[in-house]
Amino acid sequence: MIRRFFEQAWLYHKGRAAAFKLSEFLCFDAGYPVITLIFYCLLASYCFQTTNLTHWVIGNAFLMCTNTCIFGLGSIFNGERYNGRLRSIIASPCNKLALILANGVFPALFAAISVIGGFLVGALIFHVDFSGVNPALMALTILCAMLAATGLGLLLAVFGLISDSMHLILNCMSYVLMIFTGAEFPVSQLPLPGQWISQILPLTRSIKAMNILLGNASGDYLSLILCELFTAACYFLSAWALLRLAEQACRKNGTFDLF
Amino acid sequence: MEKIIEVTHLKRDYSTMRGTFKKYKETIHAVKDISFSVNKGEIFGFLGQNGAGKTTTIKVLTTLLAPTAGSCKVMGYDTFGQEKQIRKRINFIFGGEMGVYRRLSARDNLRYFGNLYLIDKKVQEERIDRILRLVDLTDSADNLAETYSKGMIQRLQIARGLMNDPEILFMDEPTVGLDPLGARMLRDIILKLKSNDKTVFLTTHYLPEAEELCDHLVILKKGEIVASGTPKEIIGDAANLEEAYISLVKDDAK
Repeated sequence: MIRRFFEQAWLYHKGRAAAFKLSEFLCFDAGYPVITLIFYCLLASYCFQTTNLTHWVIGNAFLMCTNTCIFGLGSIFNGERYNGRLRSIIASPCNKLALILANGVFPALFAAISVIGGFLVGALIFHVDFSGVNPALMALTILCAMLAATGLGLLLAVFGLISDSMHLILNCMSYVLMIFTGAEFPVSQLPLPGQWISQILPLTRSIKAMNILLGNASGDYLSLILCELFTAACYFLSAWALLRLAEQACRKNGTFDLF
Repeated sequence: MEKIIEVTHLKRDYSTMRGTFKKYKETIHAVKDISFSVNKGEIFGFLGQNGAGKTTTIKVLTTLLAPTAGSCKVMGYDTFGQEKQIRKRINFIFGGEMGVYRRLSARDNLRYFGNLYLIDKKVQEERIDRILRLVDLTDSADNLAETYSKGMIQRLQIARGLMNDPEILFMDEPTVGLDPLGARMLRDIILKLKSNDKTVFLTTHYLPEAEELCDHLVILKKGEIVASGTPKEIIGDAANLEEAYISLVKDDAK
């Protein structure tokens, strides 16, 4: 079962991208997020008139991670439909949620690399000091953020069965995360409804936990990590519960091939 | 004879919302109250013009669509509600160049789709070699599918449809894109499946193929059955199946 899971992950990645083409990886998977991070950090330095960009380096590095997870997973069904493969997947006896997860393994892996790349850029260009940070706790925080983002990505992927507007949904979600997770603006400065929204999104707690690790904020690290794991579990469960309903709706509306 | 597929009063509508300011619902009746059955081990031909409802019926039978009304049973299970019991025992082949991973080799494609059917690794590898030989893709098995010709892609689709050794194989215009040799090869595969007591549900526009292969034919016109029987019964006094078919489906036919 585990062998099959990872074989599917690898075959899907090979089938979707040109596996291990260094030029593609550098330009798309690594280059674009890093340039985005530099842009937002520079923007923050002008807007907030500060030289301590630790908060924005962390926030944007985590945003890169979530965007990779969310776009990678969220667009799976749409991509499969466009290429005429969705019917083969749906009409097979495999567990669809496990399949989406398998298909998300490599995007998640690249997401983790993106975060680390983001931290490296932060250290080199914006002089963020990571020297005093416990690497194990840092890895744990990244893992939690990825899990929560994967959960949200799975939930969005399910919507791909019933909606033909996935580009709109995914792009909106990307901006919702940017605004409400504290990556760009402090959560405490958001209006009250905005703060409520930030609590149900993935990433909010991971960003805060990472700031605590770097001594840039105060709070209970462990409870934040546990809350983030709980959020991830909620998203996974919602995706699992909705998948069957979405499949039924898809079969009733006849949207496996086209809308 | 054991009935492996039973369709009773099947109806399938597609609804779309139209209009910019004043919205209204437009409904297309793709399949209008059809009933038929398929015996185990037979090659069943499903003929009709484009838009007659053939693909819609196949999609309902392969658990991809829910019926609007009526019931469809495959191997005794309802296609909507009991699909879990059906899916592992059937497969389908649709015509055209979509449906495979272009950046994977034929072998990797078959591994991927084989894994969807939870096939044991050892059995899967043996089956892949056997099927690749059957569809004559052994020599190019490790080349990327994006380098394949249209006919080779279609042969790969056929191979994909055979990966789970299905009891019923649904084929929707499988000879699209195949050259005469490829089409001959497909007909041999269909006959071999029949000799192994497998059931084949076939739609095709190539009528000599239907006449040669099928044990039973159903002809659809605008979502309704206009003829059903053995090829011989349908041909009746006509010169051949093509002539009989045209007289049944042309617009002024009763």
